[in-house]
Amino acid sequence: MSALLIIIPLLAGFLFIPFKEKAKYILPLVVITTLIILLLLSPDQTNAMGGWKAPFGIVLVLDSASYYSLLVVNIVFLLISLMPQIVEKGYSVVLLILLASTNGLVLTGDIFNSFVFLEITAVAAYIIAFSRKNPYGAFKYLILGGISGAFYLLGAIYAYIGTGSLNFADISVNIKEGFLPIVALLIFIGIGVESKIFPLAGWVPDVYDSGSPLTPVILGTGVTFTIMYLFGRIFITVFHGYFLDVVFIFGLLTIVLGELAALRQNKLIKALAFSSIAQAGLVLSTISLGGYEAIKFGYFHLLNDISAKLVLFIIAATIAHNFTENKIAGVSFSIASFSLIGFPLFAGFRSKLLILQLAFSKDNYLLPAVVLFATVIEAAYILKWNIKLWHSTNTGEEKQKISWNVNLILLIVALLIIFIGIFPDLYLKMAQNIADGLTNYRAYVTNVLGGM
Amino acid sequence: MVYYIAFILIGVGIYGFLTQKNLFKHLVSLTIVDTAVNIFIISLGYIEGKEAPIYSKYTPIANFVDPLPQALVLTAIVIGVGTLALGASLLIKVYEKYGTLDVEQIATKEAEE
Repeated sequence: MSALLIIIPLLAGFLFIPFKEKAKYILPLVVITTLIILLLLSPDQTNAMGGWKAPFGIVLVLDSASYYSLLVVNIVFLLISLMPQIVEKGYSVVLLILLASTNGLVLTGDIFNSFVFLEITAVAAYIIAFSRKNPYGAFKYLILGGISGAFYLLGAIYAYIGTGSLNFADISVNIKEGFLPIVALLIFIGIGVESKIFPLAGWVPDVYDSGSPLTPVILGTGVTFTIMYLFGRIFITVFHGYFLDVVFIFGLLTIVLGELAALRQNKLIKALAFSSIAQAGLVLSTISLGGYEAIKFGYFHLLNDISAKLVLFIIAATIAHNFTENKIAGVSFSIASFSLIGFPLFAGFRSKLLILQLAFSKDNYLLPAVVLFATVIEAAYILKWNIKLWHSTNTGEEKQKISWNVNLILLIVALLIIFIGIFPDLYLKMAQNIADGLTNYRAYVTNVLGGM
Repeated sequence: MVYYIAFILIGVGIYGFLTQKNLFKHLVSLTIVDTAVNIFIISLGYIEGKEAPIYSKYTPIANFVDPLPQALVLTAIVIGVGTLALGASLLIKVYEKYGTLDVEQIATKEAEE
């Protein structure tokens, strides 16, 4: 039954290749269908594809972590499909394929299958990165993504040598001690490009600055969330938190360098792209603190970040001139950017406060120091951009109006950010469910392999 | 022995990324890395003196090499070809936009804009 979440968008995508122009009408319908199917399904079930039982065949695992991740990703796709203005002509087909592959990436319980879905996601992302004539950025992304894909495949193969199986649950139980370091390292390099870790994140600003709002919005929210889920699934459920201390260092480096680079940009969308890198580093280093609470707060911060980025990227890519004529968009932008810094009353404040409290309670003073340093820099450039955009006298010839449906969605997401800032229970509950699913190794293994 | 060839090829591919200035050579390096990984996977499943894993009435005793790596490589090759085709088509667009495939010349043209 959960296979329908992959099949329906994939089939719709291939059926509508001859009618690319019409695909933008089918996209919202497909996303709503997948959401309805998802709500009808109950968590805690595994489906063996083709009737091959768990260690031998591919299984799709729907536990509480993948259920809520699917919910988040599909809602992001729904919001984007309701704004057909930001989707370039003919790109709805690519979005359908991307939806199928992200759903598959979240559901799959097989490491080679996850490699295949990762590559489909990456190829769809390269095509989206190309939108509105940005071939050089897209090509750089393709080269980096291609190498990281090869490393991911090598990691998957080493896992196969070490266990004789490609199944996540089987690997987590049976992997030989000696193989763990090399598998973890190779897979970390493999996911590093997509999850925007410091030395591998060089493609991000060039790709996000493609000129089309679709590129940063979908890559910075839906795809980022999926990759972070995959990271948690592999490093927490399969490796039981092994290798996370290395990820912690890389996460801290990513935060500092991302924020410093963002401060120096004189183009809004590039500043936001670097800020997106820094936030990814914060999420990864919080998750790598280890323990249930850290994972919960990491995903809570990720949810806050993608809500803010959804608003920021759309506005930055469509009207980066002046807010006096687009007041609703301006107000949404300010709310989302304040949430990014972590002003009280906004959603980002809640997650940053929880992360700081957790780090202090674990006697870890490095992360709070880095987070506070990053927050100061963030406040500097976010306030600079807010002042610049509200008080710009430059009423140039380009008067881009935002249509009412985009405005409405921006406003709803912005109000949601304030709502989460006051009553954080909604997001916290989602993050808690994701953390539950990821940390409960034993339930995952019995779920997949049957009683053992 | 074959393992060494695979890792030497990966090294050649990475050397290509780091030293070459032509974007097309980057694409070729990517292909070399892909091929090296595929050779490595195939070499894992090979067992000396065993036959191709095709089950039929002529092979009553299943004296086979490991068939799973071969199936994986088949999938990986298809993905690699798809990526290669997409990369080549992107390169055509790069050439149309900048008139060159040299990294340094593209950088100067980008700075001029």
